[in-house]
Amino acid sequence: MPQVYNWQLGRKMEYPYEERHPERQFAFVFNINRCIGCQTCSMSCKSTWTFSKGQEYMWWNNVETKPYGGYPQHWDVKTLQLLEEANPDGQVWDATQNGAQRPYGAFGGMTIFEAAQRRIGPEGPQRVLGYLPTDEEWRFPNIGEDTAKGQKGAALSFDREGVRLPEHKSWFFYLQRICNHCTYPACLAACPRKAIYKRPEDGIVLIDQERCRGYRKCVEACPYKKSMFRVTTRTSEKCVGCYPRIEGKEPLAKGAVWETRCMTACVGKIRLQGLVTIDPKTGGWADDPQNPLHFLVKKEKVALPLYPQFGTEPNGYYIPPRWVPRAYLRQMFGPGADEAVEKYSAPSRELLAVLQLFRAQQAVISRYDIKPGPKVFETTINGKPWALYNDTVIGYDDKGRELVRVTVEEPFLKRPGERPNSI
Amino acid sequence: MKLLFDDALCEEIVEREMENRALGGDLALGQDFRKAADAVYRAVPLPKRQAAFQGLYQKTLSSLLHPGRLKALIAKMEPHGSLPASCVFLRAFKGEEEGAQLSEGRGMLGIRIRTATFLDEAASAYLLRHELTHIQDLLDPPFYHDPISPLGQETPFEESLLRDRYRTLWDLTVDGRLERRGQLPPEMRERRAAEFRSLFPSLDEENAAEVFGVLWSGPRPSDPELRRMVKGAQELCACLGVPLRAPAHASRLAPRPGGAPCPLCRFTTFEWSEVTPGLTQAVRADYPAWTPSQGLCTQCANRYLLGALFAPAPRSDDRTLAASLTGGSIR
Ligand code: SF4
Ligand code: SF4
Ligand code: SF4
Ligand SMILES: [Zn+2]
Repeated sequence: MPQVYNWQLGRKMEYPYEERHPERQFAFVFNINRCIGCQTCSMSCKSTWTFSKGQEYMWWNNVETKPYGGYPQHWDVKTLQLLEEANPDGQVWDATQNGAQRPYGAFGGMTIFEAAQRRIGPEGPQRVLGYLPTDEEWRFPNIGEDTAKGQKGAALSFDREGVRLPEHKSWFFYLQRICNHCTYPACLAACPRKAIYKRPEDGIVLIDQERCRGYRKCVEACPYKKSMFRVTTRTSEKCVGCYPRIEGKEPLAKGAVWETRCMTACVGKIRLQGLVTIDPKTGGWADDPQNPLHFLVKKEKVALPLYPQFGTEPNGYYIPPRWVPRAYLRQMFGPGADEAVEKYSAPSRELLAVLQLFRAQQAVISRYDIKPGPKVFETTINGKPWALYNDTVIGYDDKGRELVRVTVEEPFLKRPGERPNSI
Repeated sequence: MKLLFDDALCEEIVEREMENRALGGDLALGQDFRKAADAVYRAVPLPKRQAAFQGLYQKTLSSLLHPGRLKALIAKMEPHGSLPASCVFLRAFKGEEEGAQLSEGRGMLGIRIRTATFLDEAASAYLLRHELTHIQDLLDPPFYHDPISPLGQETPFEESLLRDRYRTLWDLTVDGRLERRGQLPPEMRERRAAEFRSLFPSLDEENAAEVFGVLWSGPRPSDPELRRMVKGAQELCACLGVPLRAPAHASRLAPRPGGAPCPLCRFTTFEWSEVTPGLTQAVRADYPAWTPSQGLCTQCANRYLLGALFAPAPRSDDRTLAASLTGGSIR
């Protein structure tokens, strides 16, 4: 089987196809800390793409409450368990390895591609380790909503110590999920019809509806369970990355590359999406320091991939919730979780400015600049001095045109006393 | 009897069967299905695709042995003449959803069944025999079935408790008959006995065993008899002619089976709450007929404990005390 390089694992891994990369890659950062679980994103996708017959249970974008929620139910626990069974006690990271790419570390365990070869099915070894969720598991997209992890053995009590940082004892958080348009898609690897392809121009992963024959191998293989079967067409469907917007075909955008529906609808301003340039020589992200996604993922390393150990090199990145027990975050986001939380808790001057770009406008920001402003506030965080500067951050599109200009201190708007609709 | 299968159940049965056979090394069924499916993708226009697939799954199901096996089993049910002429099988997700129901005009029978039960020869035979015996009772004139009158007169809680007892007593007499015909899975008798004990916790162990034995091997009671028996241990014993011994200590907590429904909220639970005197008082304000021995789930307990926590200082008359302990709602 060919070997491909997965930078999130700090090593090569096995994948059924030769290594190939798009020119640019669809990628996004979700700041979990800010999400209010309003599901506006879920509705915006549904009303755009999945409102037809046979798509009733489909939520290409979903937001679930962790640790108990999941759509489909238990998707992550089940996949983690399959991996654990295939490689008992071996699913470990070595955070000391992989110097330049600290804090990601090197993964010493097995990915879903490697573990699959131990499972011999009737048609020979499987290509991808996975399972097919039952209809019942798809039935309740928001099961477990707002259910917190409580204290063991104290079911009837209110835990007054439950919400003290750095780690809450009673906790939950919202996990926002769409297709990760993976660098090494499991859905694509598993399809016996070669009906799934990754677009060379933007890395968006699509299912050819003409070629699909409803084998559901992609549904079984995708570890994030983001490929879904539709009973009316008898084919599988998935998030299309709102590709018309990425192609500049959104009528309102007048030719500009726009962020997707679920991104632009976000009420909590937790989402930032764009395209990152891929270095044709290495296949990794090109050094593009003024791209906000590049800054968050590669330089500041405050945004981390979801379950990188699965091995698909997902292109969605998350700023982990800072109140959640670290062991849980490490399992979900890899060994970089501690450092990411630390950095987010006492943000650098540049990070604070870049966070202001989240949902400042609708077009994709390719580059940003920061104009320094005065110091406006001083304090100590975790025993260290920390200062707030009212810098201005400016976002530009891929043609260098200015899109947006925002300050770190948000403007204070005072409404005139007399208004016709005043209460 | 004519057997029909709803599309969701039919598809799941066929898919599971193909998977099971493939795991056993037999790929033929799957390959034939694939070939036929490919033709549908190629030749049938999109708007008609789903219907074409439903037809394909139905055809494949009828080629399997299961429908014939169930049909033969139903044909042997005595008295067969009383059963409706057709039966539709529908998909259930959970064990507690499995069961049978008659259509309004009694011309059609509906059976909810899980795919796993359907494919398991012993499990499906038991489910069918058990459910069809209920239906036969129902259709039997001397059973005097009354589908309209409620079982109790007072609260919804009382009604649901009586319904639980009714169902359990009737289940038990059905299974007793199946055992006599040599058609009962071995573990069922003990399961029914445990269900019975949990619903009549005031009977002591010996007394409960005696009553259970009479019901299990005695004649089938009628609907009016069952309605009388569910009222309580005293009525039950009187109906069956079993002497009622001095009731067991009232505060004794019956072992509640995990996964049984909470008598207050009706949700199944694995977490039964400890019952304190304060909690008893708070619950009784809403449910006068409830006793601690019937138990309640921790969610319900939480609701009453929290209600008490945030209640204003109790006043002297009972009604306002109840209102304050339950956040002001009183039935
Ligand atoms: S998240 Fe799943 S469906 Fe999306 S590209 Fe990755 S493997 Fe495919
Ligand atoms: S990117 Fe578009 S298609 Fe994908 S989940 Fe978001 S709104 Fe839906
Ligand atoms: S719209 Fe934004 S804030 Fe609301 S649930 Fe979605 S991600 Fe969270
Ligand atoms: Zn309850």
